[in-house]
Amino acid sequence: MNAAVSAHGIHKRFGALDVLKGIDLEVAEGTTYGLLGPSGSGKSTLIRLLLGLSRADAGEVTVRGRPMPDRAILSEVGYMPQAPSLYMDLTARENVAFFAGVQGIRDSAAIDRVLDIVQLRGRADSPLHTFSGGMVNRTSLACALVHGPRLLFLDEPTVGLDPLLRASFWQHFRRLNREGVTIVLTSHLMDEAQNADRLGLIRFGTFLAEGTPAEIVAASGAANLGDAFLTLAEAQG
Amino acid sequence: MNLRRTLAVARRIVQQFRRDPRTIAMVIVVPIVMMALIGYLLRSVDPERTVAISADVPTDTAGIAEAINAGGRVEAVVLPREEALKQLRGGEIQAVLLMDPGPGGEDALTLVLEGTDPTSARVLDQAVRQAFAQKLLWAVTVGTNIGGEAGEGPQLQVSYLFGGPEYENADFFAPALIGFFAFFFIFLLTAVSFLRERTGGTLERLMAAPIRRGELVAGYILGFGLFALLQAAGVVLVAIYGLRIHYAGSIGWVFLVVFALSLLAVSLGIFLSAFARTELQAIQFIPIVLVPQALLSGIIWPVSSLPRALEVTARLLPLTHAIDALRAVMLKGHGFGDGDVLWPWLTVVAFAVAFVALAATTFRRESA
Repeated sequence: MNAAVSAHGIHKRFGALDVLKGIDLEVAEGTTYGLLGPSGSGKSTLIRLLLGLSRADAGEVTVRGRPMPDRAILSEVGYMPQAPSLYMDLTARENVAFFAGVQGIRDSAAIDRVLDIVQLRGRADSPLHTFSGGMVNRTSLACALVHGPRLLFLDEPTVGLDPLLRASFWQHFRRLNREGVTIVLTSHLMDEAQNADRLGLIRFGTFLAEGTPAEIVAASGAANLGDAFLTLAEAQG
Repeated sequence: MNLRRTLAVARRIVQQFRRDPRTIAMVIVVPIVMMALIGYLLRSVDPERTVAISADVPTDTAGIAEAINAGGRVEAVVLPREEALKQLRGGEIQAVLLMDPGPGGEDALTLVLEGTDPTSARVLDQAVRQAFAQKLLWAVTVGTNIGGEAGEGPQLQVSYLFGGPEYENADFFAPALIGFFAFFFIFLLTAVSFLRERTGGTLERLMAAPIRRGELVAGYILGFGLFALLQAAGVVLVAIYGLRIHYAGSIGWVFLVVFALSLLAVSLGIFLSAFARTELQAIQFIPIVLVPQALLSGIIWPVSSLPRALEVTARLLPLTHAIDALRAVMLKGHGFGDGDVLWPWLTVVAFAVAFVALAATTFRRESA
């Protein structure tokens, strides 16, 4: 098994605050890894560290075998930040075309394809400020996918999506996995986290548990993932 | 009207200001500093206007200089002809009074004016004429071959190194304003749009793509530079065809200077956007960055007329050099073969390159 992402002994402080306190994880190629935890638990900070956008105070990160930060590897990586982080005065198509452009790509077929995936082809030429929150989020995902990355970091990709759209996103993630694409995503929703191949339950900057959803549920003795999280959180104090 | 509701709004505004000490300082301190600076400038700006007296005929040059100095408006010095003309071309003096043996036995009297600053030219011309009209100077020159019949003033020929009597104040201000507008708007637009890039998360998203920092800054320079050139084209067209300013130089050089200025404005905008959290704070760069340059860069008062400390400060401001280059192009008709265009231009480019480097340090992948 080749690790697409591996992190060892990650510590990160912001001033007096310990945000991450010794995180270890390995993400296998072609799988989906879910970071599950409440807001403020350190999920986004960990994603930024894995991408090389931020440097750990201790520990090391490698992505596809290269120590981070590494600019060259970023052409194989797609990133969808938690906040939309798009140009609200541009249309969906213009946003996607721009992020394709900074990857050095000018391929209108690729742009149409990702707009189809997020089901925005029909509104592609409307400016984002006319979009609902969910539509902006879908545009953001399209921007992360347009250059055909082998590794995706998605920070809360399904926030603001209705259940139907959320299901179709997960179908697409599965299809990407089958094509060999690795996905690291964060969520605070227990039910959708079941879909991940492996999970890291994170709270106060440490893993409460790490493994497949079934392993975590079994080890905690709870009935489901939500209860498992509560049991483990109470044990942490 | 419910006083409690009104007070709730007022209290919230005070709370927000308390979290933003820089804005409080801005509202209170900056006007005090600006008031003091402007007051000091108005009191102490003393345009030095110097005329050199150079005679190739036997005459009392010292006496002539003394008579002109007695008028109190301009300074007169005695210099050899070559030295005087060299200083005139270099901008160190603003006029030369030449006395040559004339063809008909009479000596010719020629006042050569530098000509780029119409106010300066007018003051020097009047001062020299007044001095000659006075009996004292007439007495000094009696016995020489200057000037027609006894009792009449001498015939004074006037010529211009640059421009001519048709130059007006608008001609002098136009190059400076072209430079100032290009700098002002492009700086402000860049500062605000890059601030949005930082606060909106798109900069972070770009840092997660393989784009180089230099590529990003260069893209900003090209994008905003295009608008700077369009703006300059509009302003130049209005100045030449609308205001009918007199214009001696090549339009291409003007655009080259404007492009260097937009390079500077974009990189300074990106750099300073790192020091603002909100668009309100970005707007505060207007009094801090732009007003001092507007006052000191020679738009209104020539840099050489500023008090010593401010003159040194003005030389450290990039806009000063850009305006020097634009005036040399538009008023003197000079080009990049001339030192008074090339050197100021290179200085602006050097400032710009320095700020490009500084701008690129304000965003990086591995930073927290």
